[in-house]
Amino acid sequence: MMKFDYLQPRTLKSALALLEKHGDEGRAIAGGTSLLIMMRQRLLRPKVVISLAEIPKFDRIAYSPKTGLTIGAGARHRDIELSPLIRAHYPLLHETFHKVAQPRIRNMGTIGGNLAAGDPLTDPGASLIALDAEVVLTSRNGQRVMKLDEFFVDYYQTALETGELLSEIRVPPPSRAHWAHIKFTPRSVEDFATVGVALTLSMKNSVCEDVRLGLNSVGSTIVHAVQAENALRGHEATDARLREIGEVAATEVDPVDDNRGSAEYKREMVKVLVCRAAKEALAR
Amino acid sequence: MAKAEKFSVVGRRVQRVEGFDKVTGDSKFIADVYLPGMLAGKVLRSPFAHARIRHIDTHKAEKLPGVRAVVTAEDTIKRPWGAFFADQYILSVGKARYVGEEVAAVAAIDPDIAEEAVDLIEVDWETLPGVFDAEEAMRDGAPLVHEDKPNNIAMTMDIERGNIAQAFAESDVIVEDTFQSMPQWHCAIETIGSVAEYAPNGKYTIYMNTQTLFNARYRIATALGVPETDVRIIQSAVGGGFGGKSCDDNNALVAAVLARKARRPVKLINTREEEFLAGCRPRVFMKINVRLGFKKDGRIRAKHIKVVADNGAYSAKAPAITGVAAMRHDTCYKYSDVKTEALLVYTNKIPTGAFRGFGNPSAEWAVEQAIDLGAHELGIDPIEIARINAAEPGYVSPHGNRVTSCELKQCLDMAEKMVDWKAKRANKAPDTGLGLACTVHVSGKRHFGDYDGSSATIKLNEDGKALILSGEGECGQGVHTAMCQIAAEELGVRVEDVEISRADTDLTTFCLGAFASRLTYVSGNAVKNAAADVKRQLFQQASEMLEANPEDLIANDGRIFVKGAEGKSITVADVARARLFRHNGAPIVGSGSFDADSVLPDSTRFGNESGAYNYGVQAAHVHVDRETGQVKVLKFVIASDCGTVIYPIGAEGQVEGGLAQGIGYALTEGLQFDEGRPVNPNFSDYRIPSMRDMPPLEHAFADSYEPTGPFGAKGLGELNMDPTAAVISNAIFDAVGVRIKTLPITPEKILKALREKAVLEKPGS
Repeated sequence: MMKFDYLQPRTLKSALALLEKHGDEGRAIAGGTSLLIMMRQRLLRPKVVISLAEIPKFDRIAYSPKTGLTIGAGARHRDIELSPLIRAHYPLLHETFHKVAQPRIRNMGTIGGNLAAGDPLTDPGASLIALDAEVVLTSRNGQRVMKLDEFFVDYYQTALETGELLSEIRVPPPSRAHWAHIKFTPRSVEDFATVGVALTLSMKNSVCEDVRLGLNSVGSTIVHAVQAENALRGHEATDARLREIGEVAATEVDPVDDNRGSAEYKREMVKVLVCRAAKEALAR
Repeated sequence: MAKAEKFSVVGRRVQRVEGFDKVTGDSKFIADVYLPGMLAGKVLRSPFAHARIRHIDTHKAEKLPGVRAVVTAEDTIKRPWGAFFADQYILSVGKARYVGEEVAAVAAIDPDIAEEAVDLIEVDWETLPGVFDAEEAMRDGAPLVHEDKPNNIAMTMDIERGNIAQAFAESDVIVEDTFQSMPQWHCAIETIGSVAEYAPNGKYTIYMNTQTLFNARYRIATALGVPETDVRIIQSAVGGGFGGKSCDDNNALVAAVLARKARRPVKLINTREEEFLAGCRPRVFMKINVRLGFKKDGRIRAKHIKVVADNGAYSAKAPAITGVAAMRHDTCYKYSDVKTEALLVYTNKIPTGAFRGFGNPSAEWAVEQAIDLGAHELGIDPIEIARINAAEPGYVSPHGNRVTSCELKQCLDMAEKMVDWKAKRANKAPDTGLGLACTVHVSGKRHFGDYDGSSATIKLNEDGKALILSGEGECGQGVHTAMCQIAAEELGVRVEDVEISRADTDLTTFCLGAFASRLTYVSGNAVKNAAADVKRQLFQQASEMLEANPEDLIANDGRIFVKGAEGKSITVADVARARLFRHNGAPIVGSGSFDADSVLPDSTRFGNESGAYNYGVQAAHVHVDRETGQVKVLKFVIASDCGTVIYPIGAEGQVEGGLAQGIGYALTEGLQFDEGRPVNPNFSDYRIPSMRDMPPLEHAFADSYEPTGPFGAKGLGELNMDPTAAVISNAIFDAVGVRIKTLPITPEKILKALREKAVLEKPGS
C-alpha cells in the first residue's frame, strides 16, 4: 500500500477548498469500494485522500411531487435501495439498487462515488438515465447541472473537472408509468452485468408516447440508446416493433470481449434483452 | 439410517469441536500468528512466462532502511524438489518458467518496506519463446520448458487390460468424442501462508496453514537439505484446503530461507492475486478422447481413453492426477476390457496439481458424457444404462481395485426418486431436461512410501477427559469432530469429554494428512484403535476396582459398568485417577495405527489402490433459455454412499460445498491465459458461485456399511464435485439437444450450438 495523507473536512465548502488545493494529487473518497481497489492495484496513486464522510446531510434523500427526487452524492446504495420514498415513487431505482453487487458493497458504496468513477459496468447509471436524471457538479466557483448521459465521457472518465465534486443527483417527477430493469448475469448474480437494460415508457392507447432506454456493460460509457427510443416513440408497441428496437439498440452499443462474453454475444443479448425489457415494462 | 441407531455418539449432530472458536473469531489462522521480532516477507515474481535470468542485482533493495534480508537462489542449495518428480526450485535457478514464479524475496520490518524493496531488485531478463498449449508443446522443435525433457513430455502411460481390439469388435454400438476440461482454482477463503523461524542450532519451526504436515516436512527438509527432524511444522487454523494447501508451492520454503538469512521469524502470506498466479496448484486441465463400445442391451464392452494433460511448468501432483483421470472411473462400472493412454506435458504456465477430485472431475466430465451419448445411441434411458453397468460389492476392476461396500444401485434409486426422474422424463416441459452421472472415489490412496496409514495417540487425563494427539490436521472439513466422535464412541464417553490437539510434527505421530478423501476412513481407524488401547488399560484398572473381569465391563456416557450388575459402576475419571495416583502410577496413554489393506500399484499401475471405495449419483433438472443460452438448474439431487455417516453436519457441508465447486467448474469458473499470463486472477473476473447462485438441492446418504471402516465409515469429501459438470451437460443435451464439450459451459457456447443446430436442421439444408 502506498502512503498518502488522509483529510476529513467537516463541511462541503472545506472539502471543495481541499479538492481545489490538491488538484490532480487529491482524490475524494466516500465508500471507497472503487477507489481503494484502484489504489491497491496501483492504478491510482493520490498523495491526498479527501474523505466526504463528515459532510453534513451529504446522504440526504428528498422527494416532492413538484420537483422530484434529490439524492445527496453521499447516499449509500443500500440507503437508496431501502428508502420508502424511492420505493414508492421510483420502483425502477429500488429494483436497480437492490441488484448492485451484494449487501457488503451496498452498505459502503455511494451513488456519487459510483457515478463519478465512470465505470460502464455498474448498474445505477443506466436506470438514472432512463429516469432523465441530472447531476450537480460543485466547485469553489459554483455549480453546473448536467444531464447524466452527457456526464459520462469514456472508460472511467466523466465531465468532472479538477476541483469539482459530484454533489447531488436530481431526478424529475416520474412521468412514464411503465418500467423494467434486466441485469443479465449468467455467471453469478453477484457479477457485473454481462448486459444491463433499464427502460421506462409511457403509453397512450396502444401507442408508445415516450420512452427512455439506458444500457450498461456494453460500451466505454453507460449508453443512452436514443435511436432505439426514436424507433419506438409514437409507434404501436407490437412484438415486431419491440424486436426492432432491440435491433436498433444493438447498433448503438460498442461492447468488448471479456470474461462475461464476447462483444458479439453481448450485442446479441442487447437485441434479446431490450425486447424483453419492453415487454416486461408493458406488462407491468 | 437403521445401522446408525446402535451408536451413541457416531451419527449424532454434535457441535463441531472448533466451532466455538471459529464463530467467536478466536481461531488462529496464519495471519493471526505473531512471533517476537517477526518480519514481513514479500516475493519478487517473474513477469515473464519463460525467461532466462542473466543477472540479479539486490544491492539497492538491501540498502533500503528496514530491510533485513534479500534472498535469491544463491541463498539456497539449488536442489530440485517435488511430490513425484523433483523439478522445481525454491527460487528460480537460471530461468523462470511461468508468470508468477518466485525469483527473489525480501524480509523487512514491515510489509510496505518489503514491497518497496522488491521493486528495487533489478533482474536482467532475456525473454524466451514459450509453450502454452500441451499439444503444441509436444511438437518437434517447440521451445523446451525443461532442457532434459524432450518434446516437453513429463510422463506417458499406455495400459491395456484384456483385449481392446476384440472388445470393440464385439461391441454393437460404439461412441467416441473429445472433451476439454479447464483450469480451476480452489479459491479457499484463506490464501496460503506461513511463519517461519530459524534457530541457530539449525532447526526450522514453521507455522503453516497446510493440510498435509508430514508431507510438507519431508518436502521442505529435502529442498533445504536438512534432516526431517530439523524441520518442525505446526498447523495453524486452516481456512480451506481442497488440495491446494498440500505443500506443492514454495511459500513456506521462501519464508524459511528468509528467516535463516535474517535470523528473525518471517511471515509470508499470499495476496489473492499471488494465490492465483503461483499459490495453490490449479486443477490439471486435460483434453480427453473417450471411445466406448456397448452391447445392444446396454452393457459396456470396451473403453478406450486418451488423455493429454497440461502439467504447467512443474509437476507437483499432476503425474498421479493424470493416472486417476485415466483409470479411476473404471471402478464405477463393471468394465472388462479397457485401454488407457495418457500424456502429461510441460507448458510455461502455473504448475497444475491437487484439487478436490484429483483428476476425477476431468475424467468424469468426459466419460459420463460418453456414456450419455451411448444411452441416446442405444435408445436406453441413461439411468438404466447406469443400473446395468453399476459396480457392486465384490467387483474387481480391470486395474485390480477390489470393491468391498458399494451402494451405487441404491444411490441410483434415491436420485431417481429425489429428482422425480420418471415423471419428468415422461412429461417433458419445453426446454427442460434431466441429466445424471455416477461417480466413484477412493478412501485413501496408496502411493507415498507404499503406505496409506495413520497413527494416533490418546492421552486420558486425570479428570477422565481424553485428548487425541493427531498429526492429520483439520483444514475446515470437520474431520476433527469426526475423530472425537469415533474416540468417544469407542471409549464410551461423551463427545464433550474428548479433545483433539493441533497437528505438530514434533508432538504428534506420523500422519500423511488430508488428501484422497482418506481421513475419516484411515485416521478414523487409527483413532479407533488408539481408543481401544486406552479402553483396554482403563478396563484393566477398573476390573480391580470393581472386582470384575475386564471382559465383563462396558463403558457408557463416561461410566464403567459391570455387565449384568448395572448398579456396580465407577466413573472413567475415578479410574484414570486411581491408575495415576498410586505407587509406580502411570497415566493411561493409548496408541493406535492403521494401514489400509491396499497394495502399491505395480509398474503397470495394477493393484488395489485404496482400502475402500465411495460411490455417488448426481442428477439435475435444468432449463435452457434458447434466446440467451442461459442455463438454470431447477433442481439438483445427490445421493452419496460414504458408509456410516459419522458427523452428519460435516458430511452435509461436504455435499453442499462439493456441489458449489462442481457448479463453478461446470458453468462459471476457469482461468484464462494470454501467452501464459493469467488474465482474470481476481474474484471479480474469476467467478465462483455465491450462495445465491446455488440451485435447490436435495440430497441423501445411502444406508451403507463399510466393513473395513471405523464403525462402517468411508470417504466422502471429493465425491461431491466429481460428476457435476457432466450431469449439467447431460441435462442441457436432454433439454435442447446440444452438447458442449469444452468447460466452462457458457451461455454463449450454448447459443452458438443452438444456432448451428438450427441451420443444420433447416429443411432443404
